[in-house]
Parts: sequence; structure tokens; C-alpha cells
Amino acid sequence: MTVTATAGTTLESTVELKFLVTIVDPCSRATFTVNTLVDQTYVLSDPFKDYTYTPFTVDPAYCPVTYSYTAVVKSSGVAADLSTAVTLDGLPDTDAVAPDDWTFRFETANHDLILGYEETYTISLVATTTGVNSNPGTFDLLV
Amino acid sequence: MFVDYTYILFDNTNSPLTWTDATAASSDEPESLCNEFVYFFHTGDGTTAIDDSIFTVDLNAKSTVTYSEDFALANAPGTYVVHVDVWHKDHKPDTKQTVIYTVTFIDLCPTATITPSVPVDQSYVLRQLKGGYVFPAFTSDIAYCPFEYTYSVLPASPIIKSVVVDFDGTIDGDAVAPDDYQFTWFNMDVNYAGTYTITVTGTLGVTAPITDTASFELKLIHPCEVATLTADASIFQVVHPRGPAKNIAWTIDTRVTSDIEIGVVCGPIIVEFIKDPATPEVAIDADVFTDTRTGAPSMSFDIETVDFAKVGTYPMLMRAYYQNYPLVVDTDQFNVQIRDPCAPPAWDSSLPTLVDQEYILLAAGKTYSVLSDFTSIQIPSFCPMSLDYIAVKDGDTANPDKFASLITFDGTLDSGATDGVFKFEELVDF
Repeated sequence: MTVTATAGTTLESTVELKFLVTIVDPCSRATFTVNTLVDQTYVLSDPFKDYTYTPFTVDPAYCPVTYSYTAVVKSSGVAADLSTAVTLDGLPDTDAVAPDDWTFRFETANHDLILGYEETYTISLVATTTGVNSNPGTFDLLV
Repeated sequence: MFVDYTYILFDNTNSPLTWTDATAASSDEPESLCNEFVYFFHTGDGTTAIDDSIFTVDLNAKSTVTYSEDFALANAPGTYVVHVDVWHKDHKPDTKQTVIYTVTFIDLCPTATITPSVPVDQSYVLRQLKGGYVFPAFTSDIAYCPFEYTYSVLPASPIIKSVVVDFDGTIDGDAVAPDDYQFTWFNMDVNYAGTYTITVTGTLGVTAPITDTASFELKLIHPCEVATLTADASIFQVVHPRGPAKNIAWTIDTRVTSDIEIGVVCGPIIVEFIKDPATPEVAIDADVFTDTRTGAPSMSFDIETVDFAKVGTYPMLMRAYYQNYPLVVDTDQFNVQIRDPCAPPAWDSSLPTLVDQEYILLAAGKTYSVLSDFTSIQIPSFCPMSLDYIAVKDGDTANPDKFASLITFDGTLDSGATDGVFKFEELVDF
């Protein structure tokens, strides 16, 4: 911003002073409250299982939030790709596509997900708004 | 021969009575035989010599008798009988003869016609050097008649005759001041100030004298009436910017001087300041000038205005006069120039740094005032000023169109609460 002062009577003089104005998106400084997630168990022979979690609380509340998740093998901490088995609707858009908003759907017949007769994954859920991520909320998925 | 003799007083053409032995006396015996003639002037009894004051007889030369005017003046004109005895020396009893004649002193002056002079009014400043006036002589149709002058003064009180005024009305050529016909005046006391009528009476003649008068005014002037005041207004000759007050302290002692000597009290001196010498009735502009004269030495002449309409040059007059002698006055012109310090104003070389602002959309309205930042650097600070701003996009993230709707700014400095205040507020749309 350049502010110009014009002063004088029959003759005038001017002077300029500058300052910077930064308009800040309030969501870029949003804060989250992570709600507790509940561990889940999915049996491969089951057709699917949905888990609807309680959305994280965001402040300001009007900030649009999307969710994403990552998974690791709990025992080894190695990242796991569960994209063929887990579907997450992290966009609260009330669309008609399953699963519902804020819902994980576990659905697979792929036995490769388990080395023995079961495997436990730790899933981290992160909420995002305008470049700000929440702390992850975690729950275990026993497959 | 001794014949009756007439002497006209004051007439310089009078001739002395003269005789010789041949004309005054005769004898049947020659002087060579019976000795010379001897004359004796007397009043008639044959023994008392005639008063020498009547005339002077040169008995040695036996030739002249000079009649004395002083006698006539002292004893009144008239006719005097003179006896003259004459005889041969050493043979008086046998030869003495007496001749009787008269001497008549005539004073024609009372018959003259007097023409008074027209004296000129005079003035004298008391305490100054002795002044004087040679009174113009009266004239008469008998030119030789001598005037004797006397004078009187009105009003009679205070008495100035012979106290302030001296006059010699007699033509006698004496060495006593003043000179003949001369008025002189001198006194150190100013209480004699005033106007007096001096009436001079001219008198002619000894018996039944005639008179006439002429008057003139003598003004004895108080020295304060003719004092010289000198007003010096140079101290007030200033160029001063509109706005700040200027106090010019002054005292009468330094700004107005008088040539009146110490000890002569003329009373208070009044000093006035007048707006325009061309229109001296107009007082100075009280909106700009304050004339404070509460008593020396705290007197001051103050200049102060914030009105732009008062900018300009003010020709003024300082007028000083004695309150008791208002005609003793002096003036001195001076100019006061009220200049406009805001045409244009200056700015401090050290500019302040405005504080960068951050506004979080949808937050409560935020304000930022830059007013003091500008007023603090304006020299002088009171000049009319307006503010405006330009927002320039800084980088790709800025949206100038949105920004314009986000911000309001009051750049009209009209002493309002929001003067120079930016307000950031977006309530609905972001």
C-alpha cells in the first residue's frame, strides 16, 4: 500500500509512505481437534465392512476439510498399500457414491494382505484444509 | 540782549539763547576802562542765583544760555521770569543794571495725534533660553515727541509682570537690560503656561499727557506642548508564519523617546497601533494582533492566527502621543507580514516506517491509523492535508479486485474519528 499525503494551500507538497497488507485465509491457520478412532476388524470372507468415524473438529468450522489416510503394517511399521482393500470417502459432499461421507469401507478378497492367518495394519487418518493438516488420528485394522 | 524766549520741549531744533557783550550790555564807559561786564542770572530778588537746572550759562564765554529740558520735565512747563544783572567788574554798585525777560517752556506733545503700532503675538517656551521682542514704536504727527511706554497684563494672575516678563519702555539708552523698547521673557516654572494679553500704553506729553494702547498676546508655552516624541516601531517589523504565536515584548522607554528634560512631567504617553496608515481610524485586526499594554515592562505585541485568510502584508502605524498633549504625536510605520507556511509545507527528512498489516478474512474488523505518522512529519503540522492510497498487487497471490472491497479508508482529514484510518473488513464474500 502506498499512502500519499498531499498537504498545503496555494502550493502543495506530497510524501509517500508504504506498508504491506497481507490478507490471510483463515483456514490456512485452522486448527484441528482429533477425535478418537475405534479399532476395526475385517474378515476377508465378509463382503465389506464400513466404519464411519467421527469427523475431526476444525476451527474455524467453516473451513472445508478433506481426509486422507496412510497405512503401515503394525508389526513392522512398513508402509502398506491398502488402496485395493480400503475405500475412504473423506470429502463431505453427501454424494451418492459409497461409502458414505467420513466412512471407511473395507472390502477385498485378497489374501495377500495377510501373511499368516491375520495381519494388523495401523491406519492414520489426516484431515486437511487449505494446506493445513491435522495431526493424524489412528486406529488398528485387524484383517 | 535778553529777550523773552520760548523753548519747545523735546524739539531738537531749539536753539540756545545767545548773546555777546555787544548785544547784551552797553556802557558809556568802555570795558577797557571800567573792566569787563559781569552777568548774574537770578530769580528776581537780586541775590539768589537762578536755578542752574533751568539753563546753563557760560559766564566765561558770555555767549550762550542753554535751557534745560530736564527742568521743564521735572517742574512742569510754564513761564519763568529771569533777571539778569550786568555790571562792570569791580564797579558793581555803580554800574549794575538789570534786565528782565521770560523763558517759556511749551509742551506741544499733548496736541499730537498718536498712531499705535500693531505688535505681533509672541510665544515663549518656558524653561528655554530667554526670549524677547522689540516692541514696535508708536508714531505721532509731532515726530520729536518721545513716547513713554508702560504695559499691563491680563489675566492678572498668575503674576508674570516682572516675574516672567520684563520691559524697558523708556528711551534712555541705559545699560540696564532689557534694552529700550525691548520685551524679554524667561522663567523655569512651567506653571506659568498660558496665554496672556499684554497691553502697551504709549504716553506723550508732560502736562495733560495723551495715551494710546496696543495689545498683543504672549503665549507662555508648556515645554510638553512642543516636545518631540520619537516613536520607533522597527521592532514590530516582522515576517511571521501563520500559526504559531509570536510575542514581541516592548517597553515605551525603548520604543518612544522624548526630548523633554528630566523633571518636567508631561504625563503618560499613549501608544496606539493602527491597521493602515491610510485609514488611521481603523484599529489593528484583533483576530491577528493582540496589543497588550498592561504596564511596562510586560507590554507585548502578539501575532497569532491560524486563518488562511489572514495571510498577507499588514502596513501598520505606531502612534505615540502625550495623553495631556495630544498634538505632541509621532508615528512610525511598520509592516507585519503573515506568510503561509503551508505553501507548501515541508516534510521531516526522517520518515517513519508504517507497520505492515495482516488481516485474517472474516475476522473482526481491523483498523490501522496512519494519521499520526503523517502529521508528525509535516512541518508545520497544522497545514491542511489529505491522504490517499494506492494498492499495488504484490505477487500472484493478491487479488486487487477483492482487496478494494475489503478496505475502506478515510483520507479526508476533517477532525473526524476515522481520519487517516484504514479499516479492513470483509463480512460475506471471500
